Amino acid sequence: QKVFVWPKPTSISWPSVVYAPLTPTFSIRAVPTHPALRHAIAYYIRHIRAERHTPLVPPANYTLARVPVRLLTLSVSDAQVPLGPDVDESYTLSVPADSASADISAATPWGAIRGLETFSQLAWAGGGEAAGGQSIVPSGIEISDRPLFTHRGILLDTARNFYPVRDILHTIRAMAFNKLNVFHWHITDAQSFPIVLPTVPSLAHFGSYSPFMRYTDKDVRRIVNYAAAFGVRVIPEIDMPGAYPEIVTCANKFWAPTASPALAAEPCTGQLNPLNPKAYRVAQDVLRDLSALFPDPFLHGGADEVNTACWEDDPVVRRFLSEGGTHDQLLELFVNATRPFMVHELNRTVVYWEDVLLGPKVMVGPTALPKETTVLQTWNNGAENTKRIVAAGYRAIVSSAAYYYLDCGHGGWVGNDSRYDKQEEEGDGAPLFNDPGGTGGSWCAPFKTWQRVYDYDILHGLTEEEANLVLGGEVALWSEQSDAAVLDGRLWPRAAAAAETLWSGNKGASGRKRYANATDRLNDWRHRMVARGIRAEPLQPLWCPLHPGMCNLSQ
Amino acid sequence: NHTVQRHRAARAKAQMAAKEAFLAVVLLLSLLSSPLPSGAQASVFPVNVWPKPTSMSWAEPLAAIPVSASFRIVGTSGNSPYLVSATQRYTALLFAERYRPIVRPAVNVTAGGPALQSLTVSVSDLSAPLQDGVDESYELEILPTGVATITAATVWGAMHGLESFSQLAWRGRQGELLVAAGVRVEDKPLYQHRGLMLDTGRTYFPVVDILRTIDTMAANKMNVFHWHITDSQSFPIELPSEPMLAEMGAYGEDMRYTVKDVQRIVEFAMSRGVRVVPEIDAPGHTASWAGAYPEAVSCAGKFWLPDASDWGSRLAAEPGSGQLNPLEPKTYEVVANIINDITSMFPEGLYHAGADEVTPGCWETDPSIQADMEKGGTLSQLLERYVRAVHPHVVSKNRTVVFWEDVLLDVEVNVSSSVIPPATTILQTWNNGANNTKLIVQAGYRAIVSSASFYYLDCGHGDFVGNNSVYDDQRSDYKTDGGSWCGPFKTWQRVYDYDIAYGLTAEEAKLVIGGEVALWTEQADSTVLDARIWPRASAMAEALWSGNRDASGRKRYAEATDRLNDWRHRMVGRGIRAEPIQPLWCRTRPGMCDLVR
Repeated sequence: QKVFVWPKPTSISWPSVVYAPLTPTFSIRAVPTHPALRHAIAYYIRHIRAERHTPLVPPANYTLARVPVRLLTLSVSDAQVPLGPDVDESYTLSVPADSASADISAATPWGAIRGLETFSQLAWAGGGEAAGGQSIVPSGIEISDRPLFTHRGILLDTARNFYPVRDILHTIRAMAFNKLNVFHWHITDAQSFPIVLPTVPSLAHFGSYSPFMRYTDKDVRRIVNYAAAFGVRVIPEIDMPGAYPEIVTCANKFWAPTASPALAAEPCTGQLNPLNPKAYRVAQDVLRDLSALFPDPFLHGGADEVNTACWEDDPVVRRFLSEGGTHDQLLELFVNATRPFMVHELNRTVVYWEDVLLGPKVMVGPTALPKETTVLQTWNNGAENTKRIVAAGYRAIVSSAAYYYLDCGHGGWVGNDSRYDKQEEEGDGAPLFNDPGGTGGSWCAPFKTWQRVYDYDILHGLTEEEANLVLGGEVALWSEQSDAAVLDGRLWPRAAAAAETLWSGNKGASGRKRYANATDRLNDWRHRMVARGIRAEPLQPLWCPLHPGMCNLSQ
Repeated sequence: NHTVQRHRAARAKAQMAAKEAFLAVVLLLSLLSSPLPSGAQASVFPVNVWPKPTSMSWAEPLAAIPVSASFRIVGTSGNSPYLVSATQRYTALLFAERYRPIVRPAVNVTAGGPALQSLTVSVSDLSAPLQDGVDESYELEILPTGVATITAATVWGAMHGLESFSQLAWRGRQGELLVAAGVRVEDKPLYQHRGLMLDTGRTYFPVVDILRTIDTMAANKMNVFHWHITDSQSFPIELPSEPMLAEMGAYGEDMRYTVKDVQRIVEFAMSRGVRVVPEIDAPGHTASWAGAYPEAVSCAGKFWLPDASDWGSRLAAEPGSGQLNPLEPKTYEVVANIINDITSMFPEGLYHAGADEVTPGCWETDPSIQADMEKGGTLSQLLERYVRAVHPHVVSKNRTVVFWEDVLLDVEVNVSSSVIPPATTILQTWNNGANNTKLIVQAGYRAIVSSASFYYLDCGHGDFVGNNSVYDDQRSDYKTDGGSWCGPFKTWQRVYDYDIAYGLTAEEAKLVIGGEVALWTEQADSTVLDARIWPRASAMAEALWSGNRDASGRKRYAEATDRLNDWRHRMVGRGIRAEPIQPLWCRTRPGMCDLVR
């Protein structure tokens, strides 16, 4: 029988189709109480009392239990576990038949929070008069649940375009609905530096889009605390700054000069100059400030897409190279001057984009990147690069663009692009651009549908040993073509697809991929998210969930 | 994270250098042979009007004046209720809007100088009805002395003038309301039909969404809301003579357009100078009718694609199969009632009768049709029988019939042009880009252009059908189309650059009455509506209003980028969740985000 919980729990037992109404005074209590759960309990009491979810196809033929549920009790065996990597998120949930109270047991507060979300999704507005207008929950149900991967995240880029704090909080809330637990905050980039850092305020002063488009330390604390209340970690990532012109090479140049190599992967040029000692002073100030604001043990050091032409724009760099220095040495200088600081002074595990090890153009050797304190995030070449990372002994976070980049397939955004100005069909032999099969200008086209995201096996091709090094995955929204106006629709429900795959997998008990079965469940979950205020985009016409199976490709 | 983009861009640039040289020659030749559009303005002002007017001048040195708190818009000659409501609306907008340009306009504001006291609107023909081909021209003048005027032939032109006026106002440093002064605009559209098609059959949209969309269309000087009301998935409109259709065919009781809703939409649109062209798609796309009239609908309820490996086996172009059976008398009874009801609910002179994607496989499953075919009948004859009944009935209601091009151009099922006389028929094209437009106008028909590879706003979003194993491929997917039949996504530049009269002779081009961007809603509903439409529909709006070329005849997409960034910013301020076209960084560094400098 239907129990709509997204992501689908690992195991559900519900022998008979009986629902119990909640009392109007339904409450949640932790025994013993724990401060980390205070906000979550308050939130879910309010939320569960108010929500009246009507499934798109409501269950029919069920009986109502006589005894309503008035209390949900949480018991946590180790209430002191801090939020961080590898935290135990397992829980069991039971609503015993003919009992006025339900229970959630978890090893940690963070598992209890996952259980609270599950309980909230068990409730729906059936029963009508007989239930006194209250939501009902399955009675006699036992759920035992825990995630496959410990790292289940969303990357949001707040530098290409700015997002107000409330949009970030709203996104973190939606993440908690989906049991996602890592908000990878790509705070800064070449285009803007929106975070105000106490020691180096001038970075935001000169680097943010406007005084109204800055995150103050108060904003950051609010975001970090709000996320923690939902069991979501916040991992900050900083790309290094353009506010000190003397430490940045090739700043403010046109990105794609006609006669020479491009200076950046996209408009807005500028890289830190590893030969300028001041670069390290600034970098250390930035990192120290960040570690004070973000308690998470992981700190993301970026280091993707280093551009050689940009460095060569600088005379000091050119001299270094002409005297036999290499680009790899330049990068290594930078890594060696910042990484040990992050590890030893700030006690952080450093996450880098895979580029730092895999290149292809500029890379450092593994000796500069000790495995114990380095995690690599992959984004190119799908499963292939994941394999290269773990085979080299590193822990991996998977964000393969071909599956997990939510901005892909939206065409190009650079201006003055004559490639769109084609009135006729593209001829045979010419590379497709505007016609079906063409990219339309998006480097990582096509658009990743929810099925594409859902079907990705992030352990594809790995040995068991190698697989143990994959911490999990992150879907990513790079924001060249997104801002607050469209955020929800870009993220949801596709991030939900990743959330289920990373929580309980994308295969059914038989080992078969379960995307067909997931379609109706995700339709319903999307419907519920919309009612919860998340403007998730629709997967299908409403006709499809109302006619199960009829919108499939094969019968 | 965009290495690959860079490589591709670099490659493309080499190719383009050669092409540009060629293009320059072509342009030069075209300049010599055809006269330039007169009065076109090449320069970009610090504050602009979207779509760009045919002609606008702003006296140097650029100046602005404050708007007086007692500012009023006054009509000079007689009264039109639509003009009165428009003046009230724009007065309210002017004071309510808090638009601050992303880049502060470098214009002179004289402290203590004159403030704008009034805008006088004079209209020569107050009673000209809103219809196809109505005069939409206007002139707007804002004098530095604090006086402004709009002169127009019709109320509808005057509304465009009011919109332009509203876009010339902004908030200064202290929040004070300023308006450009020393400005003169002379403006009129290139095409009389500038539309948006919205599909409320796949997905229901609440009335407020439709009203907001129409309001935004008016702000973009678009004038036709093509309402694709029904489809196979649902029949959301309540018709007095055929109540069972919505009763059985709508998604739910709260997902129906009542007679009152329709009245409200039509009236709201009229008050904004937007015509509402209704479409009840038939004989294909009618599975939703089967709840009320199972006898009239062939193949309803059957799985849409019996053999997933054979597209020819399909019963419909997408899930939800069912099309009207032309051999069934009930079909004609229902369609006649629908035509009567719709023409009385919608005053508009165009009636869209659909007729796209008639699928052979569906009719072929129907026993009565099988019997007819055994006697030598063809599917085209079947369609012709249907069209022969429907077309004259619509014409008898004093309407021009719009069909999708399929009715004439479909290779498998089509009618001869004798049953759809060009005098009373317009064809809307969606396939094969400029080629089909040419076929249509060469056959003597007026054309509305909605070529999917330029104007379909839903494209490039992957496929929506379920249980699709194609996505379960663990290899990298750069080379696949992602499942969208009309991918890739149409960017605003793609929309903007389309020349809807491409390849036509001057004579043929006269038959192209305009274009419509289209949003089919398999993957869109209320939550994402604005972003799917805007600002890409704005791109078409300008191309059809004043063209996509500058005074020298060159495509002006590069120059349009910053203006569209500004207009999108303004639309968001007006409550439209239009999507961003670039990082904000780009708008503040003109030219730096271009592909080619």
